Amino acid sequence: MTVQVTQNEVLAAFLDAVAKGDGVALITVTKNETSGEPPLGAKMAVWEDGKRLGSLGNPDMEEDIAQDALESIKNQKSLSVVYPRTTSRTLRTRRTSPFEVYIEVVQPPTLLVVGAGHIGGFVARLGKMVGFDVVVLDDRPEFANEERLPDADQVIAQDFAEALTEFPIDENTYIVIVTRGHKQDELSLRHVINSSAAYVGMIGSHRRASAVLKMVYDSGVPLESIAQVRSPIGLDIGAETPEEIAVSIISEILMAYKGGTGMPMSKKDPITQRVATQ
Amino acid sequence: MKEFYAEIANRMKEGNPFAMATVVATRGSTPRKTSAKMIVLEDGTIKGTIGGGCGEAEVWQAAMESLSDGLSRIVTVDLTSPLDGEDKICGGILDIFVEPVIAKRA
Repeated sequence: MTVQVTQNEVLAAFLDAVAKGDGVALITVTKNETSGEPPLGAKMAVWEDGKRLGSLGNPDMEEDIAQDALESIKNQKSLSVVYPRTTSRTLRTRRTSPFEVYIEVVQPPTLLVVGAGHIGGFVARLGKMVGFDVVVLDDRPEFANEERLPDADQVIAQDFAEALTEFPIDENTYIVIVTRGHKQDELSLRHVINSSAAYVGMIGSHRRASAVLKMVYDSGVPLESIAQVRSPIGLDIGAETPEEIAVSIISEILMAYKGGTGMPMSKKDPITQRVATQ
Repeated sequence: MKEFYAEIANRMKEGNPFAMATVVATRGSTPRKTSAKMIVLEDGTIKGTIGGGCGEAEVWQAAMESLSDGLSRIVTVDLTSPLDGEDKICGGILDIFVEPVIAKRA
């Protein structure tokens, strides 16, 4: 039995699921030059467990596009796809195809800030600004509290080792280690270094960072894992103050998240050449 | 990021007219990438952004029309024509899907 649901009911269910952090995709018909159903804007939501809500009219098509949606949930990529399906993504294919849907996935990455000092506070604020779900952890309740960290989505006041063992870390998690001391930095690093986190960065001068990494290495962590750690953390922008350092850290995280190079935009190809060919 | 989606959910519950515009595909170097989203309220107020001056006015116009006629549409914004007097030198082409989530009552 098919239950008829409206476009807006599907959209509302999708938005609800996004708020809860569920793995979900929304499929919207954005082009239909066939004579049949469905109308532009028709929607179907697909959850990662295979549950569906709404309809696109044609069962075969729904099946194929639901597969694409599951793929999108997995790799967190929103995109437009044509139907019938084709591997070609050329502009011509898109122009000549009579039917297209947009598959939307929204799972904001998590920024886990370990250490709620000055730098941690500014990293949390900037992280929130650029769209991360921000979690701040410190073992000092007088630092790890909502009053001090109004921008954080979650504040955890708990022992570092305990909290990091319990915290769900996945490929969508970005970890910044900025505690008050190298002992806590080292302890925290050891608890996350073998996780599947997308990014692990640790504060410290070159010298201090190297010393901490050496200690972690000596404790038996393989070199390949240590080589993945960004330490000293951040991009080289000459940062000195906590605010500036936070900008440098968030820049590096965005670079990792968005796949940037960290290079000045103007240096990607020489200005002289660009101006001369205009 | 989630907050904006929560805002859209709230506005749906409130039931006042608004349209939603989403970048569904891009070619070339565009100011915003696929999945950028904004909503347009009945009084023309914009929340969120699909790329500021670069094409946003065209999309705003389409959103206001969709609120009146109740129809979804695709707006293709071409930002490739260089230095034509408008601020369109951002480059790239964007396909933006515009839909009246809650249209104005006829």
